[in-house]
Amino acid sequence: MAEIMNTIFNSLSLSSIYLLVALGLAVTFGLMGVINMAHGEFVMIGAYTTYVMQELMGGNGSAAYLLSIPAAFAVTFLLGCVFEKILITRLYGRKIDSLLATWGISLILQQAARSIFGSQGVNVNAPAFLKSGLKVGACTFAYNRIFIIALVALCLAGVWLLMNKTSFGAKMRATMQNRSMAQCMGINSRKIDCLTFGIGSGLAGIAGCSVALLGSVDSTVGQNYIVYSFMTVVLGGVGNLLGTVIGAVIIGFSSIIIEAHQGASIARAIVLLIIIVFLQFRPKGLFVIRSRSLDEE
Amino acid sequence: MKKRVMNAAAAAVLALSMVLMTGCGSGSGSSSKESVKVGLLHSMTGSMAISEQAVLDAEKLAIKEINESGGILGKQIEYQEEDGASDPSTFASKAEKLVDQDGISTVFGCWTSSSRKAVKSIFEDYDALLFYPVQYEGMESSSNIVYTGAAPNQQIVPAIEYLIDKGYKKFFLLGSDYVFPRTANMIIQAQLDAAGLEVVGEEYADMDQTDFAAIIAKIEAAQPDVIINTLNGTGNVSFFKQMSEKNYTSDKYMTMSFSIAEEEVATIGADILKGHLVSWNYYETTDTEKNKEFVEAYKKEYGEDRVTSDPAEAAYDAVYLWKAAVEKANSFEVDDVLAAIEEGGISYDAPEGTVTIDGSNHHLAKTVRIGEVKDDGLIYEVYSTDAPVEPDPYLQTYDWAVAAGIKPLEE
Amino acid sequence: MKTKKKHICFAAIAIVLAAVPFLVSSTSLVQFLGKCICFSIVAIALDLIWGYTGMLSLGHGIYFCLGGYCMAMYLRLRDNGGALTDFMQTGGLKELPLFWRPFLSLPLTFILMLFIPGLLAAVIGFFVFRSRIKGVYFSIITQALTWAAYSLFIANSKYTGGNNGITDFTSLLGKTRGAANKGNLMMLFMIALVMLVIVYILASWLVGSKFGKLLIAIRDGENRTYFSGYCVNNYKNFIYTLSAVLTALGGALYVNFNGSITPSQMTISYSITMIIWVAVGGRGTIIGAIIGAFFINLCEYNLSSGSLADIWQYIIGLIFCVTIVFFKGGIVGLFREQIPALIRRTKKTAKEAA
Repeated sequence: MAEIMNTIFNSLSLSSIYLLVALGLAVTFGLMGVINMAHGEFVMIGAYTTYVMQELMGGNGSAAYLLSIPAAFAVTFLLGCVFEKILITRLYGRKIDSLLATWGISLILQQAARSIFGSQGVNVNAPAFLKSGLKVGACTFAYNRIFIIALVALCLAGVWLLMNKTSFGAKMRATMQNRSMAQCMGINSRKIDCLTFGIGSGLAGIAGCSVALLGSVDSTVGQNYIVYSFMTVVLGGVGNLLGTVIGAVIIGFSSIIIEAHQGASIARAIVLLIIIVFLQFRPKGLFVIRSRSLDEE
Repeated sequence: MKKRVMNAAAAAVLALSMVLMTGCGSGSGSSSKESVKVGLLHSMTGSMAISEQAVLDAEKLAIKEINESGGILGKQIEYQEEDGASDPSTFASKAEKLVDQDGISTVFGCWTSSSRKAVKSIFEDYDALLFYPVQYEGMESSSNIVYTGAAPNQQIVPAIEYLIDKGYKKFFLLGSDYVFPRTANMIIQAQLDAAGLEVVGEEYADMDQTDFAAIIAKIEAAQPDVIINTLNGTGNVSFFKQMSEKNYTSDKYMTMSFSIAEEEVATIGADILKGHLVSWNYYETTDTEKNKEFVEAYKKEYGEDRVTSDPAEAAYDAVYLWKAAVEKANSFEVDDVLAAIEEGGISYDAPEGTVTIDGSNHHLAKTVRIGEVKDDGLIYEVYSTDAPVEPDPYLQTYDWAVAAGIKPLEE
Repeated sequence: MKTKKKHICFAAIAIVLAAVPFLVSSTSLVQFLGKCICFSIVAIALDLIWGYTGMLSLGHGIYFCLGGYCMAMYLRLRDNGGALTDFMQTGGLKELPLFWRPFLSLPLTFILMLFIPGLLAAVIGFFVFRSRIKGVYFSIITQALTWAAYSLFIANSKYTGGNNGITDFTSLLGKTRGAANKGNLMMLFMIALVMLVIVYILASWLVGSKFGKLLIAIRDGENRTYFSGYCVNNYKNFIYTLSAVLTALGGALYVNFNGSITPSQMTISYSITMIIWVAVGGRGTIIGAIIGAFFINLCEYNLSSGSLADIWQYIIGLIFCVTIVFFKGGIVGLFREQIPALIRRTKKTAKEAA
């Protein structure tokens, strides 16, 4: 019983991490069709922001960590907007080229992290209130994982509210479904693009804060999450929040369950192959926005 | 007509520039009258840059110190850094470039075994010299490489012996999925079998794995006394952070690590690693006169926050050992230096104590020290051998290893 | 017209390369240029599927490594007389694994090194194209495939050498390092050059024919091609398989120069590096692939040393970004369109000013 509870909790936790990283990507990919290969590096920037906040405010106080979440969001939001204005607008409509150009950006960002913070990883301490865990019988549920799950739920709720209950969200969805029509209706699609990319990057920054709790913070931290976050988005269907959640759950649960019985490398290979096979049957993901147009653009 | 000519001209220019570009890289030829060139071949970018930076810095420090005290045989040392980019084939190309084009006398380089194995035959074919400063899994020897890091019988085997002595009975082997942990675990398995002790689990994490929940669950199920940890850099950080979130301290699950040095303690956090054991030949707290000087010089050069570690110290030793060999041979030529090394007796009063190169297998005799991580982020010795241990990369002097069939590759 | 210029350019490059072993004295540079030739073959293969057919594969490293591993297995077995390798011994194997045995024979190796990647590509292509997966989804899937393959190769270290790969072997012609073996090296270099010429001729012929026009049609308007009655899946599958075979050929040649092969060339970042070669050189022009491969690799060889090593990453990132955004045609496009356009414009303003 304890083992099952543990497995479920671990799977939930892993899914939440993948979901948090993939949420920003789902937003940008969904709306603008931009595959941002530098998304992992925005996660890295968020993680480093946590470190900087800790250094600035001294020690590992709870305030330092809680403040670093909005700080990371702000930093990556601004950076995302800047990138969008400088680079992504020029690649509008050229999806594959945006993939490649953002890869170039990711190389630059990684080297910048090395130049600023050094090649070695930096130490980010979990704040005191997140240390240790909740004891339920024989299982311990770590507080920082519970915190991350809560954070993801909050972000998810926030994004859902933004997309469905605000006028900005309505404009976002309109631009996503039919850009030219939305432009005809008077929506400034360029501004929407910029803000959306910023929000997507900001979510990556928040993901960076959580990633900093669980692992090392160095220039390569983004690379570990990037393939899984793509898989989550593609699995769930582009631009669909529920799809992304289900995608993350599928990947998280299957990773943990398979890893419990196999070695880690084999487990990873199996999970990836499962996803590829799944995509054979539903190439556009779980939830597809159906449109009448034949081509994607 | 004009267009065609112009385009043909452009083509020719392009082709020529490609050839010219190859020319601009070739070094300034061999050593000049006043200086001798050495190569530093490490990863400055990529995932291994995290670890290799310290080694590179130590080598540069040693070179600077030697230059300030007059150089070797009257010549100043110039170094040429090449970036291996954490990719063995880049290491191969750069190694070949260093030994062939740039006229260097020796190379200090590599960290991962894969990079070393990729360059090994290059150094042998070009009759060049490599000093390899990192602890590794043994099972190798080369007439053109000097290994200044620990062989398995100077790090792994004594650590297991120490644990057996202390009464640990159930061992869990945890490593990243690459050759060093697999080979190390093979050795440990043989050693534990001979001692009649139990290996309750053997798990390999993916190289860039970030979530250790499943592996920790397996550890909980196996209930070991001690975890032998051969995870690589970033894996260590994730693993220990996630162990500590479940409140597993060294009292609950003791760990013995072979890849955690002072640098990693700084990244992970002393509060998380407190009480855990590591096995090296050198710590920043090692009590020798030379070490005090070394640590002071290192901190002065690179900042008070930087720490010294075993690989950095081994790299520092490598430069000085090369100096000693050159002075004994009275020449920079690789053949002469190798002959001097093989005669035996090249030693250096290192921060870890006196180290001597074993002429027959090109490894160092080193003191083994087991250390414990303490609150201040440094590692303190809890046990050390009385004298330096002779290197035995193939474990031929250990009955249990021979019995288990561990032997050099039959040619 | 255009193709003739490309052929002249290629001829110029080929002649310069042919002269290289005779003019360049340092064997390490010749080795490196030999590797660049192998990279050019890979780049041509990528240009065929990306530049001409519009399929961005971010996972071609897997075919490169498969070809490389096949050749490496043969060379290693040849060098140690069919005995076990060190990683097999460490892994506890007692005799040569079954799938290593075919590589004891050279003809079988030649066949398998092209057949295995080709078969894998055909199978993957069949399933992927049948589901009409294209565009960025295709790229992401190829990325995932290569990552999965990388994990598998590393996990099975007793069969594949793990992350060390297969090392310690000499080339097909024997030792090629050092001044004493310059003859072997020169011959190997010439063989590689001949392979490059053959691949170039094959690729040029292919894209110049009606088949090539079809590829461009698929790239620019896939649906229209469907409606015109062509079985697009078959064409895509064919070119994908062909490109995998050519990449494997490049990989097999490469291990002769490198003396070792590791799974690190199967990683996503290496596969994207291969794309960078094509993008910077000029996609959709076979010659651009060759130029890009040489340019980027030579830059890295010379610039990632010493103090420039940090800056190199910035440079390559910037080159890549700038090329994708501003210079879609790469270096070839620069010479073909942008510089003449610039000259025309300056001539025009000079005329107007006069």
